[in-house]
Amino acid sequence: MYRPAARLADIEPFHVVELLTRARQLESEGRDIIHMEVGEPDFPTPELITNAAVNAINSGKTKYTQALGLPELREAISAFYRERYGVSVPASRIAVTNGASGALNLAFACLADPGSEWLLTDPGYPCNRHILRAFDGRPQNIPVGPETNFQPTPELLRQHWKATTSGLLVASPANPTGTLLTLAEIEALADVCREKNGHYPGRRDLSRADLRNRCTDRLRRRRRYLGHQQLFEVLSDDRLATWLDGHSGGLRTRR
Amino acid sequence: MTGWRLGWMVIPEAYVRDVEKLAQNLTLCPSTPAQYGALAAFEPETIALLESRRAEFRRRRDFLAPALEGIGFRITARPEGAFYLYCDSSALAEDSFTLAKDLLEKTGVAATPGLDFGSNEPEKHIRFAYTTGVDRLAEAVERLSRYFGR
Repeated sequence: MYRPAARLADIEPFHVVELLTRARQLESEGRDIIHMEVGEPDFPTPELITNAAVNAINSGKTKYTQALGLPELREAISAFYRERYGVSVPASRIAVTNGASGALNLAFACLADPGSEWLLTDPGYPCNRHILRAFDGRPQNIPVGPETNFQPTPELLRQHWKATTSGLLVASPANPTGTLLTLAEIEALADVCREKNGHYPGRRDLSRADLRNRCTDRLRRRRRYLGHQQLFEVLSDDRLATWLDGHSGGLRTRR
Repeated sequence: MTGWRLGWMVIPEAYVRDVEKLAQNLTLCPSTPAQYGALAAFEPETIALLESRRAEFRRRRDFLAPALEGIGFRITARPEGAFYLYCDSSALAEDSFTLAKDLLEKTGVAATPGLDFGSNEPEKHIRFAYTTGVDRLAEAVERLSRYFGR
């Protein structure tokens, strides 16, 4: 008997797949399709990376690693924070994950009680709210628009925060808009979360170089002021590369 | 390198043990070959290459945004990261899902309607990703201009 869990009613498929399927069909008929629906970079994986992976496979490095990742990779990430951002994040606090989505799975598994409510922006990346729902959390939408550059503000946060709210999830850059939060904006949101004793996971799929110093400040300040650091920083998306790649810097120019 | 499925998370100190327990039970570990590949992602040579790709994304955005606005799409968000433009298409079409289908059929340009991103006026929005070279983006702009008679 087909009887899926009730949560499945709240988890939607990607509607764009219908268009993708049609696009492929048109291509097979010889039409030239320009793909601007694809939400992933077109660049190939850098050769140094593919070579390293192939070498690992050929030399039998294909067994389990530690659950939080290869110690040397966690060290490399820690060194990257130090060198690029001038901030000390010990390797012990870094978890290597199956993409940023894997990290978000772990974060919500760790923080979301059944029925707990979490604030997310609408529009937003649908998987964020669906992952939350899969762990029996309840997404609460904050409708956002051009007035706030499609990001939440302290005013919106106070307006939507209820006694039952557990936390806020922010994304910078946000999908589908590509908008960023400044350090001041992030701090102001964090202040409200602290005041409400809420959690504050951030999805920073991609970053930007201009954020470097600010990011440094942010991490430093948070370490100083937040005793138990409610901040989970989910980094780098599904792509170590893209994180730097698409986003670390130049895209900052205000239009 | 999206298909490698690798990212990371910075965990608050107090939660490290909890996340480790969860990771042990939910995934055991991230893909091992992918992790060895990722070690090379932090080499200066790789980082220099990635920086040049970031610059290319900026170039594409700076080309595409004004071009789409010239056609009649409104870009009300300031796109400063990632690789897409979320456009208000309400001056051009009533429903962006139908618009996306029409654009695909009649111009061969595939874009993502707002429907996938929530319930806040999705019918008024469409997302164009600049995940293809400037020459192809220019071709898309030309086709769209013709389609809307601009």
